[in-house]
Amino acid sequence: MYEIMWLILGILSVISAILVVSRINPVYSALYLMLFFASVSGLFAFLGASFVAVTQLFIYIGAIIVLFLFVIMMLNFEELKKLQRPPLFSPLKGLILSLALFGLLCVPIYFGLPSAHPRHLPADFGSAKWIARDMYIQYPFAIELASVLIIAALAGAFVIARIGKKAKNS
Amino acid sequence: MSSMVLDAGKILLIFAVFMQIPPLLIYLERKICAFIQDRIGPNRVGPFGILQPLADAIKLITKESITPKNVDVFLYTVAPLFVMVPAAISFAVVPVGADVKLWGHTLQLQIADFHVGILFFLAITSLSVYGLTFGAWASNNKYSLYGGIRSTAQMISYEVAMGLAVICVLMSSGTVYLREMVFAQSHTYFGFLPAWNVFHQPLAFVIFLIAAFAETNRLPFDLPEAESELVGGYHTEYSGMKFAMFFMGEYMAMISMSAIMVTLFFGGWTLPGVVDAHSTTVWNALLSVVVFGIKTGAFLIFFIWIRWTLPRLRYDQLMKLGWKVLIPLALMNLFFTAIWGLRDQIF
Amino acid sequence: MSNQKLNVREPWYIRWGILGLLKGIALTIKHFFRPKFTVQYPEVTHTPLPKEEAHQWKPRGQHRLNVDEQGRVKCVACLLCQTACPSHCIEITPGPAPEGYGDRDKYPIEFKIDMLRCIYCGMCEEACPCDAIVLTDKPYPVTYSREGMIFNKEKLMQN
Repeated sequence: MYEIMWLILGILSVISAILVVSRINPVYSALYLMLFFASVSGLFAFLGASFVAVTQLFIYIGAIIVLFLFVIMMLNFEELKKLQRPPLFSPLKGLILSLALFGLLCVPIYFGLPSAHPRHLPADFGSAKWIARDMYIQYPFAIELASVLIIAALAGAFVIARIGKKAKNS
Repeated sequence: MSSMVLDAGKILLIFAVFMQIPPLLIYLERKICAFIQDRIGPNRVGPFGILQPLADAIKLITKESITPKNVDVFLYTVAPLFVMVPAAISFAVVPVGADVKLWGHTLQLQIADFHVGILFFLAITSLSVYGLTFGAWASNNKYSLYGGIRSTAQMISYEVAMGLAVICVLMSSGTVYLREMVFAQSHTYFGFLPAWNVFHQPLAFVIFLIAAFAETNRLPFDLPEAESELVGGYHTEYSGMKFAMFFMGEYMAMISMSAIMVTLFFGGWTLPGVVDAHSTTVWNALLSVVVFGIKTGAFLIFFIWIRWTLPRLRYDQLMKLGWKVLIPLALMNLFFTAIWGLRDQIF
Repeated sequence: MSNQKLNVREPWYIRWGILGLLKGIALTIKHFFRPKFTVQYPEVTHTPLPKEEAHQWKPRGQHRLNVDEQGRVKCVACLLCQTACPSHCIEITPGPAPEGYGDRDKYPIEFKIDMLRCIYCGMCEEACPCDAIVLTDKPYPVTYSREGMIFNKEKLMQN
């Protein structure tokens, strides 16, 4: 039962990830991206990381893809369809690159993990309390650094937007 | 085995009752609206018009379901489900009554008590915006599209305020489990005042309430469907049962929201002096469900009452209220709650 | 706007709309418990006059063809009502009166009123020289077909 669900969600996530990049219509890309995040969230839930699973739903599906959709709806589809994209990479280069990435991923999966069987986890593993303990007692410095980074990015975006406005006015 | 049967029965019962409430709510909405406008309202179908929702349902089911020519058929068909399903699932984490001992098994009157509790509710309700957006985009209608764009912006803006208000409650009660939260609110102060979170976090409650109106697209914030500007907003092109599903979804979201507000701020199914939180008798459980129903019903009536009182906000007012009033207030509330929580270490 | 010019700053609860919100809520709840204006139309007809003068009020509903003491239709088929009717909804087929009718030469063989065209103005009643046609307070008819809305002589006499 567990393995079957795991397999279904995994296959679903791979298929939807492929569909995201292969669709021409960006709204469908967003839909499949949503499906992808949902299935990944399901995988997290099966791993016992319920907090991460819910955060995946809340942040990625509930906020980020909604923002994507907001931007997509502002686009003009007719012009988008006319757009002839020059290929970024030749197929051969792309194949080599993706194979290399796949190999890179295989190495830690094959050698890095001691065993495929999950260890016995404490009962409240993955709960909000567990995450909070890990984040704020074990790694408070890293968390603070990350938040500073985000604030800097926010301020940067604000400044860029202001400069664009100024240039338009003058 | 028998406990599994009991659990399944419980889930079925809760879900079945939950699905029956929206028609009742539509009747209430029409009746209260009529009374506020000095009218009588529906009174022809059945005694006091109580069968009116049934007549509406028959009409909507038998009506032709029109699919306009240039719509995106897949998304157009799927969109109403995206509204209805999250609203129904989000009710799963709400505890509706006290524990009850039946045939030697202790039964929790709550479908699922997750590790993440209230966060699950927030995550699931945030999905309902997709129904509006996809439906609006797939309709291939400019008014619908405006409605969809409005709904995305509105949802994101008010979700932040709502999340911050919930965090304040989590900090003051120290748990994310809705079940524990209800138990924590079951005692009293000074012997008469119930220890409800609304007395701990009045500001968080007000912010949550306003955000709840915005999240369910109820009237002061119903810009996605604003009839006077956008024809019907995101459901302009919908008819028949698909339209009914949008409608049902809105009311189901309203019920879930009311239930979660009762659970977070008004002590859930507990009522000091009436319901004993730690008793497991059948009578006590029934009483607790009735108390929960009355509290939730009061909120639902409040939703309807506000709808027929307040005019719709302008779009810039909506954004201003969300980003310039609610979020700063929520952040301030969060800050002071944190200081209060750490007062022993600071002072 | 005018307040800004006068440099009068309203208190915060007015500026933020909180007072207005509470006033609105109070108003709607007051109306919730007020007596209702609705008149249950087909059962009760609306009289715009006060109660003491209500007997003077005569609503104009379906037409009736009056009959005399012997049960004969009073109409003499003078076609005055048909001429007076602004919406041309009355159609009379006149004919010579049968033997027993000593007091007149003509009588209506058929008397049709198209209730869909009628605007219930009461001109026919005013035009009638012998009080044969009157408007009763019976509510407007409801049928499932256009043909059903054309009332003939028998139906009008029963009204």
